[in-house]
Amino acid sequence: MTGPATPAGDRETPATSTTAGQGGTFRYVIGYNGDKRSKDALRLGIALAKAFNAELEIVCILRSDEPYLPVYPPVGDVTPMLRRQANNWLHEALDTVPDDVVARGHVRTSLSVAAGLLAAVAEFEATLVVVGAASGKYTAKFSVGPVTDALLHRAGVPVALAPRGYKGVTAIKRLYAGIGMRPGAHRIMREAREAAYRSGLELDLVSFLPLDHVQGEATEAIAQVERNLQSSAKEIGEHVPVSVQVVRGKTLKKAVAEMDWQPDAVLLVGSSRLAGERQIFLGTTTSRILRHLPIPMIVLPLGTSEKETES
Amino acid sequence: MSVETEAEGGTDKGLSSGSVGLLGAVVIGMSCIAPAYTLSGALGPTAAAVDTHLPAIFLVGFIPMLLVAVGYRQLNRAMPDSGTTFTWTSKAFGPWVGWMGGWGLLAATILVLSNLAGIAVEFFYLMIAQVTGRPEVADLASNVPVNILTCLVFMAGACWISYRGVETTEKVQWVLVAFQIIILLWFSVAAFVHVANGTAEGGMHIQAEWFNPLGVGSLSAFAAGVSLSVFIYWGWDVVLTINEETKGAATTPGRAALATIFSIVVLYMVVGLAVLSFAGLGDTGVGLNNPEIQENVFAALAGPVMGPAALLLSLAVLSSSAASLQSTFVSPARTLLAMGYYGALPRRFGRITPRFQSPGFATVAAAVVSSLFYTFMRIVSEDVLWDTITALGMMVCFYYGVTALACVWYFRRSWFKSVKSFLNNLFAPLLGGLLLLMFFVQTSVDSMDPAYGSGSQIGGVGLVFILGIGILLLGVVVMVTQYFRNRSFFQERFETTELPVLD
Repeated sequence: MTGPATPAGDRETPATSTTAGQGGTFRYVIGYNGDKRSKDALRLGIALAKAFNAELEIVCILRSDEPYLPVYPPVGDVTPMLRRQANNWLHEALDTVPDDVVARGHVRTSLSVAAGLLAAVAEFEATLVVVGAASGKYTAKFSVGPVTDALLHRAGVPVALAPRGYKGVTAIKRLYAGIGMRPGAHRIMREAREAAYRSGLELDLVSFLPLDHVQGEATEAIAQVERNLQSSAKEIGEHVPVSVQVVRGKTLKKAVAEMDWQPDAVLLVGSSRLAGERQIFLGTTTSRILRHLPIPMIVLPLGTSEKETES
Repeated sequence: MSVETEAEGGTDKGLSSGSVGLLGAVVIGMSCIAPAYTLSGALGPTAAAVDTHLPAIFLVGFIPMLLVAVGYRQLNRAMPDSGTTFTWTSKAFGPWVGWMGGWGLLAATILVLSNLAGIAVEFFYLMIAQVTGRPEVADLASNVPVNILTCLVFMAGACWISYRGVETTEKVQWVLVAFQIIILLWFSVAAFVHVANGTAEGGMHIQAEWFNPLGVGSLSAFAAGVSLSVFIYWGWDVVLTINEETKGAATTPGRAALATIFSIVVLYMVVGLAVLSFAGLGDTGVGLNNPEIQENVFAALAGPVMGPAALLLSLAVLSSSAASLQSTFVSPARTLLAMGYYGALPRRFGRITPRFQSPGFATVAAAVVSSLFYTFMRIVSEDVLWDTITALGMMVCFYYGVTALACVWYFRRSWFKSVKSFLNNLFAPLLGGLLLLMFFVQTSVDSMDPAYGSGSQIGGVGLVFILGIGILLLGVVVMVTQYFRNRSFFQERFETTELPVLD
């Protein structure tokens, strides 16, 4: 499953690397609490783990009571029952993990699920946290619930989001990297190259071009974006097979919907420039893409180095 | 592949959840007692039972609660992780008594839910009437279909909030509690000023005799008064169970409990005296013996006492009962969860909704049962609030009494280990438990009289009796049914001799 090993010393990027990185084992934290979207997240975690040879830390966060919760009349603590239930959920989860993927289950307590997951990321020194998108029945594939929303604004590591009802694939085979049309896409390109290089996955650079935002001739705009992508592809280098694609449509929604997404792929996107150091911050375009995307997505935090190069 | 849980017993609870200081603990205790709501519902029936000895009963009624609370604290320290009446009594007396203890708690919470919702409905319309200046709106509360419908909406709202596992935060609690206390004190001062100026309708002056519990006419009246005051103090013992989160855990819980007790007794005393001396015991107008206003005295007194500011009192009672309504859902839901979990009720009660980590089925079940109960009572009873409060007092006496005795039995081997152990494990809970059970029996016997309480009856038997005893008998039926459906719980051998080291 693993791609070519990273030759030692052949690295330009510092060790902040994420979906792929240096020699040791990667650990992915999976937010799991027994519901459907946890199962979506787990399927995505397994597919990613196979592609990047990572280990899974499946974490069930139990919310602890606010001490100011008045229970009237007082009854005792039901946490042991919750804990037992959480253990059952984790056992169910571990049963679905294929034998060739290393996975462990953990129960943690926290005041909020998001804070608990972030603490777990720190505890396991994880390089990625995987969650399922909220399950708004009639809404888009991804609707961002409070937990995901908090992660997308506070996580210091990439956040992988499984779309609602994600069926899972044996392993992720292809990476799409969403390249914005504004400058500042260095981080995402570096990450994409790194990831593709390590895993041997095919890399596709994509730009979204909503034609309703184009002034003047469409063909010219398309050509311009394509040139952009080509130069980015060149920057990424010869070691990695790269192809480029301009995804267009009348609106951003149509563009995303009409693109022929490969089911065994993930889309890498960067954070908004509003993000703080090593922080994730979902930009507006990204969150609109997210709403219509049928495949999983990984949101990268803004790296320190990128800030520096930008300023 | 393995599942590993965090540190044994998950004792990190206090670290992440932030700590609660002395004042915070008092706020939690106060919020559980919900003084504005409690007084609003209980003042009338208590005054009806014991006349001017209201202050005396408020003082005396507190003692059995205090004694039982000692037992609660002991059990909570010995079995912190399964601290429900249901599990404690099961461990002490075996499954059958344990089951009934759990049922008593459930019944009490179902009763209090209907009462809370009922009070909330009354004050909801009263407040709209006060805001719009149209007094006829307040009468909507006595329109049965409108009342029931509004109540069901409130119930559904509270159920939804509790199903989603939303929890009240510190700030909200502070505001709610401070608001209640300020308004209640304001009300009392205004009432005393009226009395001093001679503008009070009843206009009685405080007499020493009001504080003499022996002056209460009969044992029946005394028992009724104590059952009711058990209801008004119900909830403060929560202070004893928050010790893990309290700053300086060794000393604070004790001090917090004392501080809560002290503040609540003082508050009740002030409000009780104010109401008594302002309104008097007449049976017309605002007199406390006027059956028209007894079930909800604040609604009747707020206007005459506070003038235009009466709106604030309505708001205080409404917010207090609405907050309690929501937090009260947690209690039956968790008890049902525990009972379902141990197989004492069908397993689906033990189901936990993954998304919200709340006992979903149990929460909805509690809401449905309380709603049905309220609807039934609203149609049958002449005075729903009064009858539910009285029956509630009985039920609390029952399950508190049983729990206190469970403590005595559970710690039977350490009765004579030390003086402290004797007091904590034998004397206090035994005396408290026996007193409460005695009041329970006395109230049950008295309530057979159709004239008892508000005077509602079915077939010549008092409605309060039918409620109280009927619910317990229903419990026996459900228990036996469950026995035949799934015996595992009833055949389980609980460790009745488990003896943790306690001082």
